[in-house]
Amino acid sequence: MISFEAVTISMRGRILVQDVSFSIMTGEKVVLCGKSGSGKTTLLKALVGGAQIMQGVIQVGGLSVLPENIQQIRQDLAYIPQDPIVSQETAAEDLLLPFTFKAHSGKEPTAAQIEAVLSRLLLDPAILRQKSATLSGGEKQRLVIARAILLNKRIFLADEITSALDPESKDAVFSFLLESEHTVLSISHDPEWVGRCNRVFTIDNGILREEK
Amino acid sequence: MEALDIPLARFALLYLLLLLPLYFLQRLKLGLGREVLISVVRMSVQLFLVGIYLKYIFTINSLLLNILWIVVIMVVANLNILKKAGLAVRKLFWPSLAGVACGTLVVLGVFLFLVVRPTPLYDARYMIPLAGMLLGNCMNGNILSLERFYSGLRKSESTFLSYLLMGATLKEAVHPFMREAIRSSLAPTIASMMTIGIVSLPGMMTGQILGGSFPLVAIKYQIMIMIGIFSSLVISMVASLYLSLPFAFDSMLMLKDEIFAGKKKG
Repeated sequence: MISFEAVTISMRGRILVQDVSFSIMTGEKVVLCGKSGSGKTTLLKALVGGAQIMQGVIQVGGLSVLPENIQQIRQDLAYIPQDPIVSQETAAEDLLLPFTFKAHSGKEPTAAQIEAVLSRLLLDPAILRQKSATLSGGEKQRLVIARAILLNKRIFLADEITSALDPESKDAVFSFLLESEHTVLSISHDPEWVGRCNRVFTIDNGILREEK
Repeated sequence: MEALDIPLARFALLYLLLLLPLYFLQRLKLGLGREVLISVVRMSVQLFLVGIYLKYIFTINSLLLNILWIVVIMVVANLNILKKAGLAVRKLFWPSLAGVACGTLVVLGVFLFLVVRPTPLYDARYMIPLAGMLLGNCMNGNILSLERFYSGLRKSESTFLSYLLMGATLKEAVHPFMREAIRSSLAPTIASMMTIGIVSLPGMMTGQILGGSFPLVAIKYQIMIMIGIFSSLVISMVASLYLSLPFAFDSMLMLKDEIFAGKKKG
């Protein structure tokens, strides 16, 4: 579960998010809507320790977002940006990048596990031999999602992920995120995505309101 | 052999030579005349003052005075590095100074104690110009590497954050940014080593030859200085970048805004 209790975030003297309270149950699919600069991205960043909380408490799985817990909290979270930045290497190297870090060394997935994850996301295993930079936007996003699944992430933070996708990629990404057991906190303006989420929040000038 | 001294009257002719480029700049309406004149006056005054200072420092030839001079130029170089890299002096002064000191002193030590071995080892005629040459090059390289590293991190915050979310430690998450900053900052030095002697005769070697050294001796010094510059550059870049990390990130491992010049906390 994720909870925000009376959270206020300011940066350089400007309040970006004011007195925000809400909670998300495990498995819920939630979308935040609002104009650019309204505070949506700040909320996502605060969840992963990327914004300074002036007042209030944010909790993920019962742990407060504090320096002593941040590493454990980050283990559960995956961030999927609108345009994932990939390396100049192959898709296989990008997919397995986290397993080069000390935290996951020796825990590399098997070929069968990789294939199962890719097929769940309707990705052809042949793309693993391609350079990541040559993949389409939709393939890159699905590659990032596949990486998060291989890392056993439980919460997906999705930032405007559907804006630049072709219909096939969109279907694959929607189906996976909506049908999986993962908790999804997203930012989107896509009416189709907004219509299919469990809960919709709008944020305006840092103030949050839930749409009924 | 000694270099021919230039009598003052003939030396003054050099300044007349400037009339030619100034004329062209004027015709092209570049508006650089005033700036050029100020820079020529500054260059001349600074070099005369250094010449007078070095004359005394060479005569006195004291270990303490030599060390003091090197410390002063290291501090000046460090302030320049941080200013030009757009970073806050009060936040990164010490780590950046330590990085510059590592790169300069290690290589200077090798030069004086193992390769050249002047008598005494701290002979100002060797210690001061060699330190100055190493520092000047470290300064330019460190400006590039620090600027590229920290501005790269700031521009690609979401990429950096995604590395942390993938389980990377701070060192693992900054590694790609560090690699890119060092690679691009070293490119000019590597390119100059490739063409040295073909396209250009380096200043130090030219100076030594004009000063009466045999070309083969001058070449040895030039090779020594090129290897030294490259080594001190890499050592100081890597040391400055790594030593600055604990000062540049907060307890959540996020880049502090206040490390950039002109940014205040909060």
